[in-house]
Amino acid sequence: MSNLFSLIKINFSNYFNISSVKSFTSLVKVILFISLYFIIGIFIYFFARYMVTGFNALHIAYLALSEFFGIGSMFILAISVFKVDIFNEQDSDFLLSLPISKKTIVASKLINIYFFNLLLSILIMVPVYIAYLDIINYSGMLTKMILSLFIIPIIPTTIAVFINSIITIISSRFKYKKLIQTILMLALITFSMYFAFNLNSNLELNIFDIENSFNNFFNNVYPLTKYFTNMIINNDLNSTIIFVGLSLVSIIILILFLSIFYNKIATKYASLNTKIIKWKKQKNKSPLSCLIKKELKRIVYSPNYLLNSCLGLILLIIIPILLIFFDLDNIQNIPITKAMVIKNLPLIFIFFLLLSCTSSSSLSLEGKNLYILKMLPLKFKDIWLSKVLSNIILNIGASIIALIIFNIAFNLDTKINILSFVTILTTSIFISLFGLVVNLLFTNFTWKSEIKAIKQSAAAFITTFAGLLLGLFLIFNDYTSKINYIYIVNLGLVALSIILIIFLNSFGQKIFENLDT
Amino acid sequence: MISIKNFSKAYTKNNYVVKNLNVELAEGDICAFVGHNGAGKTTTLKCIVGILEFKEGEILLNNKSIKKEPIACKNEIAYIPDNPNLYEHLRGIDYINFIASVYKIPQNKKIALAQKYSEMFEMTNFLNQEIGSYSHGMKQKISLIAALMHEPKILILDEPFVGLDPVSTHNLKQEMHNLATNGATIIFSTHILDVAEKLCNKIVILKEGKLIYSGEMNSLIQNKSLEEIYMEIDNNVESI
Repeated sequence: MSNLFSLIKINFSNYFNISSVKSFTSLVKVILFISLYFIIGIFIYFFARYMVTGFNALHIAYLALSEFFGIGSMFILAISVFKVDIFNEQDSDFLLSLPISKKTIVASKLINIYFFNLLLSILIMVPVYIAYLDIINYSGMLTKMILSLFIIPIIPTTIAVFINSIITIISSRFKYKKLIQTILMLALITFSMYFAFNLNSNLELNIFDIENSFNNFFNNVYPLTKYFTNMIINNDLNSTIIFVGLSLVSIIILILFLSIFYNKIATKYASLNTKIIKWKKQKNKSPLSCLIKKELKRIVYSPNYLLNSCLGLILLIIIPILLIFFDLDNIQNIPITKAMVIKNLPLIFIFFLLLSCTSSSSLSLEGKNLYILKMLPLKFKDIWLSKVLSNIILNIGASIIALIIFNIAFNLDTKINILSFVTILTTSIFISLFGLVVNLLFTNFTWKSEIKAIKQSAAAFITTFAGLLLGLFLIFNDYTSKINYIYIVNLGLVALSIILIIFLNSFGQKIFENLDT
Repeated sequence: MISIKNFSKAYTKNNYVVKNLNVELAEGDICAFVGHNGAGKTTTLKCIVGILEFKEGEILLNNKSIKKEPIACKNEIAYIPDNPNLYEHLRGIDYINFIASVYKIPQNKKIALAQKYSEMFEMTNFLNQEIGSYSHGMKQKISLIAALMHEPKILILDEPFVGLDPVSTHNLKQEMHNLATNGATIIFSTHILDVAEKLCNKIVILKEGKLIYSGEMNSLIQNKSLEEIYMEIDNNVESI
């Protein structure tokens, strides 16, 4: 047990870079991070309040808790599946050489992931609980609510780690491990989307029995919902025991399962290409094109980097494919029609593109290799351009494919096509620049697993949430789709891009030169 | 040619890792940087290469300031770190091609030199493999191949012999000697005093960030071994 606590302690101090918090800049970054956390919490509070009020009018306020419980759990699961990387951390060799059991090593890594998901659980559920208690005014469930915060993330974490580990174990048996891993992850995303669409199209809302309709739907999506609801609302002991018991048992089984495979998979492996090199002349390339090639290879080489940073692009391609097979007008519980999608297509591209940013972790991912860029005769402009352009290339490439598929699904007119293309350009340029600037200000070179740089760093967090908030703001601000709105948005993105370029040209070099791993 | 004048480096205010260093090296010099762990050797080398910024003093490489003309200086430098962290996702040949493109090495020359150094360091059969699969020594070799390929006028190596097999160590020493004969200036840090004694004509000894000795190897050692001299110096902190 003491080994487990030692590992947890070292993981936390390494994860949060405790020693560097003493510097003023790091303190500012921590304060900014916490402020953003609270701002998002406030947004969730007001949204939850709206839902609770609505359900309360029908005397079924508790359904708001059920809904957020389901949404929160699914969100944690979705985020974690692409975020965890138990087998590929750089300290695996070191840990395996110590007199610590594999179960303890695996448990310490799971607790690390659980802690991050606990922060998400608190972020989502605390504002919801506050909104609920504010309106219902009954504090008798406070203890159970606090307990639930710690239990909610366990099963989604367990499922996510299990799925991710199975994919790693399967792909490790093939020569092209990374490629197989990427394909399996993409298949998982496609299947999840198909499942979600299928679920929604099968929802039957009985207006004479809304309570049971919603309860059935929530329980179909996430069967633990009924135990959660009974535990909080009805103070049911059996439900509490089942909810807590299932959560704890599942994670214990996972630890035992993973410890069997940990040794084999975690110790370094790489594909060995034994073909002898053939020396041949190549066309001379500029330093910029070499850097872009290096960046693109980096993205494609790593399933974690590709899937986490380009999730918006992946969804942008999968959704129109599914819309070819599912009639949007007949899917219940999704208040979006085909006509709305067509009219707001540029905004839809904005939303998903703002979620796709490789540049927000591209500097951090240099890690201990940063010296290579610094020692070579490279202009800083070429370095930042390569990171920005590689993201733009991916965004535009995937968006054009998506646009073609949308055309197949909805037979779009020329005006929407042109407007969408222009929006793709402006949004791609903006988010690529924004991600890079944020990463320049918030670097993390001390990661042991690349997932920490890609998904768990301040830069990635800020870029993703800023993109999400901006996307939601733009969409919800234009529900009536005023004719000039998208033009103004595009001009705004261009203006912001210019500001970011000026920043990079004026201050970027100095900041880059001061970076040290 | 390398000229280090009144160079000092502090990571935080008043916490100097190197203080007031002065070193002059001419073309053809091979200089060993010797000192305790934490003496400031790696910090100095990184500042020479332009990886770390510094405020105090000046470093001139072939009469060009690393602070004012970094790109021009870096065009003439090759650097090999003590820990060769490279791009794990690239194959060995990809990394070589990448470096060749950055230094704008003509294709014929690139192929000739890359072939030459790959054979010298016995890496030809491994160039198609991902760097992630390489051992420490293999990564060191790829770093060396990429560094030597653009025929640098200044070669900076941080503990280059650690992890290299005996044949490659011998070949590297030969190549360093050849480069110096052709006018290159070479600095390398090492704890292997034997190698420093045999290979170098100049030596810099650092202790706790301060310069203890900088000058000709022959003038320092005279009739003793470098190891004996170093131990004497270590016990006596006054500069010679």
